[in-house]
Amino acid sequence: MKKLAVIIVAAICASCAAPDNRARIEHLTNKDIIPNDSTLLVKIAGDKQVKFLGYTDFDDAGSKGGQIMYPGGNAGVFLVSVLTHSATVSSIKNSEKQHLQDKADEVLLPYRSSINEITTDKLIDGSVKAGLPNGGLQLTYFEQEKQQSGWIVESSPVFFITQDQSNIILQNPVIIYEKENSAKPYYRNLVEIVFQLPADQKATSYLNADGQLTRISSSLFSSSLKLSIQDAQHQLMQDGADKTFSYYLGKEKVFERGKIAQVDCERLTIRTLHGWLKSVPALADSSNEPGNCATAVNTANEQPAPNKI
Amino acid sequence: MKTQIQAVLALIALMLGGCAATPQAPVELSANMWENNKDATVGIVMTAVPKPDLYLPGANCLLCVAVASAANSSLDKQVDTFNDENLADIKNELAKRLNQKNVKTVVIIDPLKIDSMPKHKSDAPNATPLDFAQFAKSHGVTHLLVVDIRLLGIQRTYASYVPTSDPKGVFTGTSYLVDIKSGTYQWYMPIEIYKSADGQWDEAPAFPALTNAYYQALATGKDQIVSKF
Repeated sequence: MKKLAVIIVAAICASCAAPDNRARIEHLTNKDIIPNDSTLLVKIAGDKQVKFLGYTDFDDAGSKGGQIMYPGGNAGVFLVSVLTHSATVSSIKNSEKQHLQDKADEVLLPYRSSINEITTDKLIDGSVKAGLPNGGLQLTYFEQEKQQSGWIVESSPVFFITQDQSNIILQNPVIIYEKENSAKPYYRNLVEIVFQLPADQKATSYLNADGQLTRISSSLFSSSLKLSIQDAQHQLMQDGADKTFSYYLGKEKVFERGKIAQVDCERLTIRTLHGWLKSVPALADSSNEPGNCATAVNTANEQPAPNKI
Repeated sequence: MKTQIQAVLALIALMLGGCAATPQAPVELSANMWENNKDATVGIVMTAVPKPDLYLPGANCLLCVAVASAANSSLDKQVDTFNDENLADIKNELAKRLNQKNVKTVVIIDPLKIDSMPKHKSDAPNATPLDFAQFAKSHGVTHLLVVDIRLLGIQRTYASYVPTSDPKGVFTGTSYLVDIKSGTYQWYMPIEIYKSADGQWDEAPAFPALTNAYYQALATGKDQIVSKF
């Protein structure tokens, strides 16, 4: 009986993983910092075309479950029926998640032509021109054919548009390494930036207007590089107790568990439980008066502050 | 024979009718509630907050439970580290919000024991199944705001031995406002929150995505209750 239970557990645990379009990356940091007079070569992996997806969660995926009667003529028949059931359910779950993602991607249809204009070259160009704050480290273009040495900051950004079209979210896995030592990353992390569209604008006309989506995407990309480099240079907060932070996605209040990495009047950067960085629009403090700076932690029932990136 | 068949069918119909109680539908809080009840004193009470736990509904046979528990043992260890973020303090938050609307409140410290509450029989619309009159006598309140949390933690559904969903953060229960004198709900809100992990969930031993999903479910549930006031 025990052997049968072990076999069943092993078989079920070996079920295939569901398709997942979200970036996965293991956070890696280094106790040293990049020398302050260094130049960082900006590189984006993969295609020239920037990837966009519809944002969705999988809260409704999966069935309610329930008791199943298995044929049990003998242990072999029973085991085969359990394995078959397991494989079927796994396939259904994966198929369901893929269906949810395909459905979510329909939100991109009105923006197809604007999305097609965004190339990785434009993102890199925007980040190099924006540069880094406080002087010191410099950003420049990585060019494959040139014999450049130095530090490379490589990423593969994916942009999401939420279903109510009020937010654009960038998820950018970033790796920093020395060109001569590419097998040993110096820093690695996933940076997420949540951008909220102005509340008084219609999403389609706003985002499709004259290169607007390209500008916003470029700005988000640039912000993600800045944050990752600040983190690599130990300029963000590391310690503190885990808390649950709130922000708005559209009209919906959402929550994230983690520590404060950086906070200012307009944005809150959270170090998530994975060690990733998530930058969200700050919630206005209830006592905020025009002209005063607001602190962003857990204020309910406030309208989202318009965010700049 | 025909009479016998009719009698059996009538008996079956009677039994089925008795088994299925109509579930309470949500009741919206009237916009004029506090204006129309200026003398109201609201007692605020909670049932005992459950310890965060791992729920495996559908794994109902003995061997099913053993198999499901074994398959999720490392997740269960992580769930043991979860806290409820001082959920019982929601009573004080609710009291503060009602006080800001000039409503008098009494925060009742002892947890509500629903199983030992007397029944209330009434055919009135939105009548409560329980009699809360004792609170009027003991605490001098006219209304009772109840927060009843049932499930808190992580849930993964099963069909016997086979998981039919990924584990999700779970927060379920009900919250309601009772007019003690009339024995009716002035507000009734079922709460069913399931939060999936953002991305891959199976990241033993710390399960960061699932841990996040749990705290998201907890915060969302708390916010759903508090934001009504």
